[in-house]
Amino acid sequence: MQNNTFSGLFVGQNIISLKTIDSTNNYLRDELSKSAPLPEGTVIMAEAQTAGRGQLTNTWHSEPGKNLTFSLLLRPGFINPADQFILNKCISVALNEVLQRILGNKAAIKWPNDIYFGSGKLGGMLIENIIRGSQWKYAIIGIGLNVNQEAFPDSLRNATSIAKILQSNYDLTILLSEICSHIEGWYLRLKSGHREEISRRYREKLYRLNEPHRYRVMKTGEEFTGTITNVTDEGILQLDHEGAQKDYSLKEIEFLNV
Amino acid sequence: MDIKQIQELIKFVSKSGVNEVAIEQENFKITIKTNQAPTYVQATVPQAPAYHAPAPATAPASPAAAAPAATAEEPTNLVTLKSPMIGTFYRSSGPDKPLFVNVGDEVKAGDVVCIIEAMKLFNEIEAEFSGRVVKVLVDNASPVEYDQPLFLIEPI
Repeated sequence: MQNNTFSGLFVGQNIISLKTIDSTNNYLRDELSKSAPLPEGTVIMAEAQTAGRGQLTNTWHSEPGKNLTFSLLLRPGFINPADQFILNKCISVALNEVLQRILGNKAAIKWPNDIYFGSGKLGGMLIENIIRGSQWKYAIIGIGLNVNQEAFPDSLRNATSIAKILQSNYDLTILLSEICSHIEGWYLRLKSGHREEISRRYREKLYRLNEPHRYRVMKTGEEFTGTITNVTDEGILQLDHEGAQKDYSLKEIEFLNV
Repeated sequence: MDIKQIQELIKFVSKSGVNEVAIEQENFKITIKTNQAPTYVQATVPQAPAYHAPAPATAPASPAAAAPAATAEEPTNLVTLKSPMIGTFYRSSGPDKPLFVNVGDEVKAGDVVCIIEAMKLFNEIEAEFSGRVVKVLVDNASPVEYDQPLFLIEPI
């Protein structure tokens, strides 16, 4: 099924909606390897994903038809692949803005790109890129958002959903349309060079910004109380620990809940 | 300058006792260094496929100054494929998945040769031209720097 009822310029103008698919990111990549090029802004949406992924090995569980799981195609050829974290910030900011409108100010971004409400996880994203030389050909942005699912397995202790928070269901088509229009808005800002505005907004919306919390250094097992102060252009998390700035890359630090 | 001339030049330099000779002509540059230890030969070859930045084709260093001629037998038109970003280098899309490329494989422009993960962004790196993989320069799951050579490829 295809439709183009959305009002944006290009994000979501071409929507391919599927009942069940292994992963919408994989589907999009397979389509790209075929001859006909897909327009930027193409969205692949699935009611159910059998192998939707968090990271390379983590799979993400979703009750069919209840949540929003889709992949979006962008062609960020104007960004040097070495500077790619700015796209992660851009999409995070757009999603956060939509959720803030629906749920209020507790909507947050957990470094590097999880979608939070308070200390509950609403969703996440997986960005897969195709790079040739120094050219960023495609970005495939997979987004998974818990919308109308209210029960979660015990293993997902901090999972939450829009319906759990609002105590009422939210229309998936409307939500997708809102997300597409906000991604488009922030992506166009990125394209016209407003990187500082994106970084500032990303920082302001960071989960645990300026609050002391417990963390564990993965390598040594050492636990400490630190305060998130910033995330650099490269995506490095910066914490203040007793007056000293400490920088952490992904998989170097764990957020602890006490 | 052809292979034979390069071989003669290397012989000449190794006998001469000088440490380094650099010759630069139009579209051609060669540097021969003879420290007590190994001999390096670097040659920029104009017919290498067009990169955004011209990539120097680096012939592997010969093991010892005693056998300088061996260097010239290596293909001199190798091109390095470099990392476009800081990240972690992966040779397959998952622990139980086949390697994208092995030494000796032929790749076409557009074939995926590796993945570089950077801050949860997964980058499939495509070959820019057709060629044969001569050497994989980085171990699977190792960190890589921006511009770090990843593969040596012989264009075909």
